[in-house]
Amino acid sequence: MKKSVLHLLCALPISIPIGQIGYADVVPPGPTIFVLSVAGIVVLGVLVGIIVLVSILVIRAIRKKQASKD
Amino acid sequence: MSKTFILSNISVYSAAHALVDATCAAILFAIVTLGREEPQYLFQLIIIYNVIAFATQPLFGLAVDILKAPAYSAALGTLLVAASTLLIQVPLLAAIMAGIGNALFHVGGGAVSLNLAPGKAALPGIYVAPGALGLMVGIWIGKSGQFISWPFILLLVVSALSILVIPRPEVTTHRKLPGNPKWFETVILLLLLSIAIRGLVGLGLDLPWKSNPTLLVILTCAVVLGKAVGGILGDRFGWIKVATVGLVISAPLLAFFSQIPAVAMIGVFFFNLTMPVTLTCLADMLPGKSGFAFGLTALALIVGAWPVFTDLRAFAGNQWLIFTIILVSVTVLYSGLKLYVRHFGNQNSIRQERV
Repeated sequence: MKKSVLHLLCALPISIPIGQIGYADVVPPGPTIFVLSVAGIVVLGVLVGIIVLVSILVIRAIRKKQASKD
Repeated sequence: MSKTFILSNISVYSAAHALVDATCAAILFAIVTLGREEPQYLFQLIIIYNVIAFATQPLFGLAVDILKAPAYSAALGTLLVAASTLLIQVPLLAAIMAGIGNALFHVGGGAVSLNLAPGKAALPGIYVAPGALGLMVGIWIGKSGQFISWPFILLLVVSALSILVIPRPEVTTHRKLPGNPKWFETVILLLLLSIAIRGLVGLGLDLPWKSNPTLLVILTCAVVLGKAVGGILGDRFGWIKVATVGLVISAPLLAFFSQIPAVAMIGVFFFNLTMPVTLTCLADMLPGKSGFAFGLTALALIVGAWPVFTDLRAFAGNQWLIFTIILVSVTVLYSGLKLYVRHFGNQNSIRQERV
């Protein structure tokens, strides 16, 4: 067991049968953004954009509050 | 705060963190394994879940800070994730509910961990670390086709009750930041930029040997250990030293030796040392807004990882590009931390950097 783990750790590179490669990660393989419909991209983009904007405004408000304490 | 108090809080939240992440991953991958839907639709679900779980955290974090209710947020998030296991037959609803629950839990738990020992990076690191372990176990259960709701629901309900029962830390109220406010946004921007780059490299890095279960377990342990140890080392030896040295060491290991599992794992360990430092530093910059600070780091991660979801993912195959991106991250992080220590640093960080 020890030997096989060591072998695995140091293998260069490890070849993996195609069949074993599947949903190995939360990131889907290939060009995936295009699997989203246009509406989906717009909705998610707008959502993230709004949150980024709100975050910037909050940070600026905190800064102003800090500056007013001077 | 007594050691027992801190220990009980960090144990409950860390265990709950692993459980919440495991459940969310198990739900998503169980849907994938069910295979009744088109593969494209399933990938959409994963993207939708990720955007909701990560990007909405600043909003929930802000609400948690205003209401001063991190424990309730964490408990509610845990229960929402539990409820989402019952909706697996309605994948979109399950993914959205799991995403919202995950976000609520993360900001609640994050705020608690940041308030247990304000200005210290060790506890936030220990809280965040088990998430990777939970993800790995959840993906494994989901993919195995053995996903059953009730054990998850039972454990999540117990976690939620534990969160509500244990004594809670006092939430830090507003305090005046020392130093020159003109550097305020610059420090925050540099910290968030370094986090975004970490998200890009962390998610985009191509490690084909991850498909081997044994190696995946060891890799996950390297991630967990890196995050957990990063804060402890940062508090002991100084945030700048640990975070920048960790990134510098990781750059060649991840860029040029990612095909060799043992070397790449060492790189992953060093790469993750920075996480608790950037999180705690950001929370220090936003006193009384620990939930919002935690949420900002999640938002930066998903914004940074965005190219990974597109054709731009091909960058992961370019070793020199990965190396350059990590070095840019080192520069950005070093500048951010240096400005922080010079203009706003808490006494602990300043003292440690002078050692």
